Amino acid sequence: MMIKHNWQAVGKIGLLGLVYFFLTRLISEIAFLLAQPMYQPLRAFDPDGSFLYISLHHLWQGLFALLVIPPRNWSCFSACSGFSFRAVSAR
Amino acid sequence: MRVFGDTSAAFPFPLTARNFGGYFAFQIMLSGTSEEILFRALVMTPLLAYGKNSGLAEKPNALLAGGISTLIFMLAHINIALDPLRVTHFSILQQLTVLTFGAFYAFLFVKTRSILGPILAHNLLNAVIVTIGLVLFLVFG
Repeated sequence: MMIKHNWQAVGKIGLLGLVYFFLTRLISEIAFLLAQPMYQPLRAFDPDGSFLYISLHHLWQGLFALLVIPPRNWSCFSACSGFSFRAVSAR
Repeated sequence: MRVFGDTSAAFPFPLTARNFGGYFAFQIMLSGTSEEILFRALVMTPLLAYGKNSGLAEKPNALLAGGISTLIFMLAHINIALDPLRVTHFSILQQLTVLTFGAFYAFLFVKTRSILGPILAHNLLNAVIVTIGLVLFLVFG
C-alpha cells in the first residue's frame, strides 16, 4: 500500500516536472524575444554578437524566474523540503 | 583590435580582447546566476516540497527532484526551431557536460539548502571552461 502510494507521488512529481519544463522553456523564449529589441540599439558595443545579446537574454531570464518563484518559497526551502542540518551532521 | 586571429569551436566569434572580455564577464557573472535561479531554485524547491508532503523519503525525494531539474537543464541546451520543427543545435559532448555539472549543482543545492552555492560553482566552472578554451586555442590554434 505504501509502495503504491509512493509510486503515485513519483508519477505526480514527474508530471509537475513536465509543467516546469514547459515553464522554463517559456521563460527562456520570452527572454529571447525581449533581448532582441534591446540589443539592436546597443549593437555598437558588441558588433560581433559575442556577449551582449546572450547577457540581455540571461538578465531577462533570471528576472522572470525570480518573479515566478512564489514569495513563500524564498524562505521555505529547508522547512518545505524536509531537510535538516541536524540530519546531515549526524551522518 | 584582433588579438588572437580567427574564430574557433570554443569561441564562435572573432577573438578580440573586447569580445573575450565581454564573454568572460558574462560567464562569470550572469550565466550561472540566471540559470541556477531558473533550473534549481524555481524547479527543485516545489518538487522537493511536494515529495516531502507526499511522504517520500529524504534521499529518493532529493534524487528525483535533482534528476528532473538536471533533465530539464539538459533539454534546455538543445536548440529547436518550430517552423519547420527541427533540432538546430545538439552536441553529445555538451549534453554529457551539462548532465555532470547539472547533477553537481543539484547536489550542492540540496546539501547547502541555498541557491548561492550552485550560483558560485556554476559561474566559476563556466569561467574555468572559457579560460581553458582560450589556453587551448592559443596553444593549438
